[in-house]
Amino acid sequence: MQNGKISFSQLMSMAFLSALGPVIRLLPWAFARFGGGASFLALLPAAGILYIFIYGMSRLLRRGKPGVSLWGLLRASGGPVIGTAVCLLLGLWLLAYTAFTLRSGVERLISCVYTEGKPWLLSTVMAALAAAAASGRLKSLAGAGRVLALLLGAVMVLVCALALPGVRVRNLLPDARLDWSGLLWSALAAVNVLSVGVYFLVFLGDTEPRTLRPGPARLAALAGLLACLAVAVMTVGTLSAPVTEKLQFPFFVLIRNIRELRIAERFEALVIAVWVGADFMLLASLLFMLRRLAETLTGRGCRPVPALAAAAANAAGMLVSDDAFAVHRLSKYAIPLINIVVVFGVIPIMLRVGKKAKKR
Amino acid sequence: MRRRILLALLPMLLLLSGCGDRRTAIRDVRDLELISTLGVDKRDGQIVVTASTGTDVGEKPAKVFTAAGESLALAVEHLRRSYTKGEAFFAYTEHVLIGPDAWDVLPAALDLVTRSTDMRLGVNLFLLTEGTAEDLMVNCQCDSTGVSDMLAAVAREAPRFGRGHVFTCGDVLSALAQRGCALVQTVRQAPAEELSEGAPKASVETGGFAVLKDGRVAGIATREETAGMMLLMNLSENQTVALDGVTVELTEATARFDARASGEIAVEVAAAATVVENAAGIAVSDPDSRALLERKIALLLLGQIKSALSRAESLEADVCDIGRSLALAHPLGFAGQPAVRDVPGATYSLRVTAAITRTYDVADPVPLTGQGEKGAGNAKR
Repeated sequence: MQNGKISFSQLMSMAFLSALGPVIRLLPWAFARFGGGASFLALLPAAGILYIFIYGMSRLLRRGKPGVSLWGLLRASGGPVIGTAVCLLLGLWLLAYTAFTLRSGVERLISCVYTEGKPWLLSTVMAALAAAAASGRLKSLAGAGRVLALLLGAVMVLVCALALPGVRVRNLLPDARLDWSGLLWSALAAVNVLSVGVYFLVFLGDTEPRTLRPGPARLAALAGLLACLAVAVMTVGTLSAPVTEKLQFPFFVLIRNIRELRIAERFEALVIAVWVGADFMLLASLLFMLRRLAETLTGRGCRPVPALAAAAANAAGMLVSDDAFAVHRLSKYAIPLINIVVVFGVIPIMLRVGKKAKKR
Repeated sequence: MRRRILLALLPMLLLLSGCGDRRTAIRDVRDLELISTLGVDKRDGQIVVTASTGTDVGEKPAKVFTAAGESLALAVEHLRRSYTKGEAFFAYTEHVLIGPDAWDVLPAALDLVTRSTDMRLGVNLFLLTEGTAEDLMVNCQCDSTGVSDMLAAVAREAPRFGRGHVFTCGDVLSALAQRGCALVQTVRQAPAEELSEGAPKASVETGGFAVLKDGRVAGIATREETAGMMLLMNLSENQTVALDGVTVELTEATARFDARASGEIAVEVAAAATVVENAAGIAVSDPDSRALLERKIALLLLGQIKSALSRAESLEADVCDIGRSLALAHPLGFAGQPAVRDVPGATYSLRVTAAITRTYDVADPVPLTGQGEKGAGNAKR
């Protein structure tokens, strides 16, 4: 790839990696809460929704000016005032999402491994690492993403292989009547956690070719759905839906329970440490998106932006939610709701408006 | 940049493994007492915990420790921070044993295990019906074995005798959440089975299932009721039973459930058996003799099932998870199938069939009297 560009497949692998954090944070709870044991069936309607969404987005972006990122398209869609305001609002949301990702990542480390850990220390370390990565080149971040994706993929396969004997089919079968509304809510939860990939369209100007390619996007969505399937089947199948719903981090409780022939056991700390990689990729990508926003608005390079944004997100994460209950409430309700409004409402509507205006 | 990121990530992998304390970040395994069994008792208003290490760690004899506290978590914390040579470490705990005086601590024990970052939901749960957990753990301990080995043997062997099934904390939590009641294996102290020098003073013997309901032990099932519950939950494993001079091993026993339009719950249990001892001299190769024996097996199982259902009825609890079995009989629940009944209070139609499928090498009785075929004929009559 020439001139520091990355391929669209690389971009999608970054998006897949970034989605893994939300998948293990939210999906087992949402599936157990809404769909019960058979909630894994919700992945079928989720696949349909994602397919239609990718098709729609590729149609919306098809005749766009090549090389223009999502920020550029949004700004052009609304004109200098409204477009800039929408971009700034979305930037603010991404900053808040960065703060939440930092705080929830820290909460996971404290709840699962470092019971005596200091939130500010862990948060600052994560923010500093992500800021350092987002201040460099996107190609380097994508390269690191490849390594991390391989590592996390291998861990995922290992965990699934070791957890499979503990899965009880009885826990995965639906009760007397299939709860269709529950399945629909579960499907929305799966679509929601995977929709983080939409934000990566910000990097369309950095890819070669510089437009949305439905093939790799569908492949990334499929990989995400398979990850959702593995996480849902393993956690709900092993722990049962009612217990999964009560646990804060059921996926890590599942890993803690793995015990094969008294040889392979107690490796959850290592898995959690490796899983920091998914948070790192999401954080670094979000900070990079904010950098690209600043560059779009100012028209020049803005390398210090990730560091400033990381500092702001770190401070916001510490100040806004100083207890775990607030983090879990945000994680289960507020963040998914805002995300769904932004991804399935604001962004497509703005792109549609821009397309119509262009036709006129 | 990629190198810088990788260099930054590598120390994270090494340092964020979670193995460490605040001071050194490194704990030598030799400084840890790996607790294999945790016993819980109640004495003078205090929770007393007794912890035993396993005997297989470094081929050292098991050690037993004790500590007390106002709550279970405090007692465990006192044990962890006690002035023993090593620090008590609960990441490899396999069994939790709760003494009769501390049965009301069971919800706290389940909560502690679920909340703990050390213990697993896969920890086996036992209720002791007599004495104290501390006494049992001390009396079972010797140079070569300990209570952990014995509880592990119970978990392994109890299903083979139809004496029970050891449920984990995760199983119990899941059952309580799904149907409001759960079964827990009970054990009691028994005279040691090993007679050699240096053998422990006592061993562990299985009792019936304890039924948990509304956060307390609602009752203890008899041996027959326990065997029936195991049959209904498809938990029996090669149960061996003696029937008037013939001992058979149940190689398979499958229970099926269906809700009938009349409101009855149909229960069908199909068992397959092999003859392992034939002291009565019955000619097993003869279909009529075999049918008689099969009827005896079926009646035995029917009695066990009836007593289990009767016990569940008296406790007003779906202890055998029949409600879920009925629901799963039609997993996709499209229109047409009868609705699930409220299991406690339902009427049942029971059908038990047994088939002797094998007698190993000897089909007919061994001619011990020297009369050959005549002996077999006599036995047939």
